[in-house]
Amino acid sequence: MTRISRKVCIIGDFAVGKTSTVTRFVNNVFSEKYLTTVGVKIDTKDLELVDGRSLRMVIWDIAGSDRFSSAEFAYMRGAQGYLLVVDGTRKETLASALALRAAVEERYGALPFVLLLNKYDLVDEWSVSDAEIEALNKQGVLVLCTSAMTGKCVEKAFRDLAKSLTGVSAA
Amino acid sequence: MSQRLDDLPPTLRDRVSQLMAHSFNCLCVGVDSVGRLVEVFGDPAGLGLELPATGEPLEGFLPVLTGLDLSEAAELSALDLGGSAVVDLHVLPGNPAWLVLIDRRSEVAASRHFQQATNETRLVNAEQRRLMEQLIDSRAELALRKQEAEDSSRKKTEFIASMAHEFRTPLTSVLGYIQLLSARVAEDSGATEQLAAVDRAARHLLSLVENNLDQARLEAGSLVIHRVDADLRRLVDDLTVILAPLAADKGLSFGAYVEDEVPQNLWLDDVRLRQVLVNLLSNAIKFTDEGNVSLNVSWRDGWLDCEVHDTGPGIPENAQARIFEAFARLEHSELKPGAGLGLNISMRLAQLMGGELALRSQPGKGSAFILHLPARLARERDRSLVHGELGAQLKRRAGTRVPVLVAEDNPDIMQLLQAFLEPAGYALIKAQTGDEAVTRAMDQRPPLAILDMNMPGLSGMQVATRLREAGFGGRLLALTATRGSEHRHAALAAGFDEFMSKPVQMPHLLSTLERLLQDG
Repeated sequence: MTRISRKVCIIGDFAVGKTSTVTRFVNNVFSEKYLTTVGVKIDTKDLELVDGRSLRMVIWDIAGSDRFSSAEFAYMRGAQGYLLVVDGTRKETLASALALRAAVEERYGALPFVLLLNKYDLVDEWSVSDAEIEALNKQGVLVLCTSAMTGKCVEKAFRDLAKSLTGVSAA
Repeated sequence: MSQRLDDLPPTLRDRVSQLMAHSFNCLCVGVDSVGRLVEVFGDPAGLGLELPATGEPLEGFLPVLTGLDLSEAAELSALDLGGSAVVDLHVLPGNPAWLVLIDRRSEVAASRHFQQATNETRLVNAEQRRLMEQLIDSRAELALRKQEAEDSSRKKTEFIASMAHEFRTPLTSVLGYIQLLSARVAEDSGATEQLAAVDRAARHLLSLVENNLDQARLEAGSLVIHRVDADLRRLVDDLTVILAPLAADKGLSFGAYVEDEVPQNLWLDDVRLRQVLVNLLSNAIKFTDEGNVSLNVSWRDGWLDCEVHDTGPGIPENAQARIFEAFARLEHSELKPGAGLGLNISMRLAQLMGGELALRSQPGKGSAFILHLPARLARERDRSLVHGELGAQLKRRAGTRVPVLVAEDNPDIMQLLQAFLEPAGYALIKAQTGDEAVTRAMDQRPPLAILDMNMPGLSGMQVATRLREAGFGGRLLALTATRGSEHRHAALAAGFDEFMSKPVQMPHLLSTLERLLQDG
């Protein structure tokens, strides 16, 4: 079996649920306890593609920030796509995410990405409006409402990104 | 490690020496151009890493290599490589390229501890900010809803007041013409009974309109108490004029008594007191089929007691509290007309006046409603200052018509007033507008003027003000479809001597005019 590897990053403001999303995807577990990431945490997950190849996603979970310094830009180097995570209950994290996206595109060009509106389990407390989501959709941004706690759409987010990276769906 | 620094190639040795302190655990990994392990210096296990054998591909053991360009120098700090490995990674291009991994577990752990506290504080602050914004939004929302509710309540009150006003004018005509027709068809008992039925229906409609208006104003908090020097005996006389005929129609005896110790003048809102007593007495008459209805007024130590007693069916004890609730209708009252607002309004008016309304009743033994109000002594009004020039020459003499100016824009009401006033010995001077009323009053100087408050051009209030300013000495009676003690208060302040709300009972109007003339 042919195996290919792709580096992807997961970025967003602090405490939006990036590490929880990765942990849900890689280990299928969730912890209520908030643990800050310092620097970057690297994990891997293998996906089988429908063309028979195996994709190893090397996931760089970058410490939360509303803007990138040279260290974060260095982490992004060599990434072929990324997940942009927003906390649906904190409206300001959407602005942070969009600012990060702009910074990444300015430095590395337009990379494939999926925007995750996370904490869907708290949707009653969301402050991101339907109109804002609709506006993102109209810009062609792939937006998924996810919950690292319940697992909602987490797998799909990575699979959608994998397809963007390889042009092939995961099996 | 330090002793092995000497084993490193010279260029790498210098670089590693610059990068690391001697106490750090360091691993140097040489990688060839296709990603195979060439050489290792240091202990991978000491960093929590496992490496392949020399010559084997390295990427499977070090996923950090995915996407990493080994032809460019790079520095990546605080990489958590899984397991227990947390390192700073330095890429030194060349052949082989060197990966220098420096252990940072303890530093990152310390940094995480600090960053965790910082982020948690930021989260708490963000939550506080969010809650504060919610609070501000909630307050704004609440203020908006309150404003909307107040606007809605005000509009409702205005609408009901407007409707009540609109109803009163035609009801004045209806009730007045019923009285005229009653006099003309007195010999036809059948027609008299039919007219009495029309009269009852019209009065019921009027009471519904007025009760709804008062209920709306009470709910809106817009009903204000205006205390004046009130003549209790005159008020009770008026009540007798109005209610004794109703009692007589049902074969009931009616008595109204004012005890001797009641002062001539008391400081209270006579309009609202009259309203409560009319309501209590009307109820008593309505629910009593035989016996008597009476009103007894007493006064002691600044408190006025008005007791309305009847020999009706009485009210069961378990219903006595409920009877004061709005829209409350007792079992035996369902056959009687009414919306169930009267007692509730009476009780709330009593409370607004600083008093209370109590009930004493036993089934089969009648009921007594006791209105208990604060009523201090009032000063005698000195009417001579305003009306001193009016003298005995204005007393009506037999065979002499007393001129009275009637300013009224509604032709039906004008015709009705004429029908009553002329047979009673008055000569009408008619005016259809406020301006006309001023001109005629000043030209002809009648001793009496009846002014409608809502006329085209000058209002009744403006006419009264102009007449008083011009020295008009006649008595002024305000006749209006507007009701309420605040309107009465404003009218008296503008120079009116008396204020009556439509529809007025013509006998009451005539007795009021007579009194005004006599007072003058």
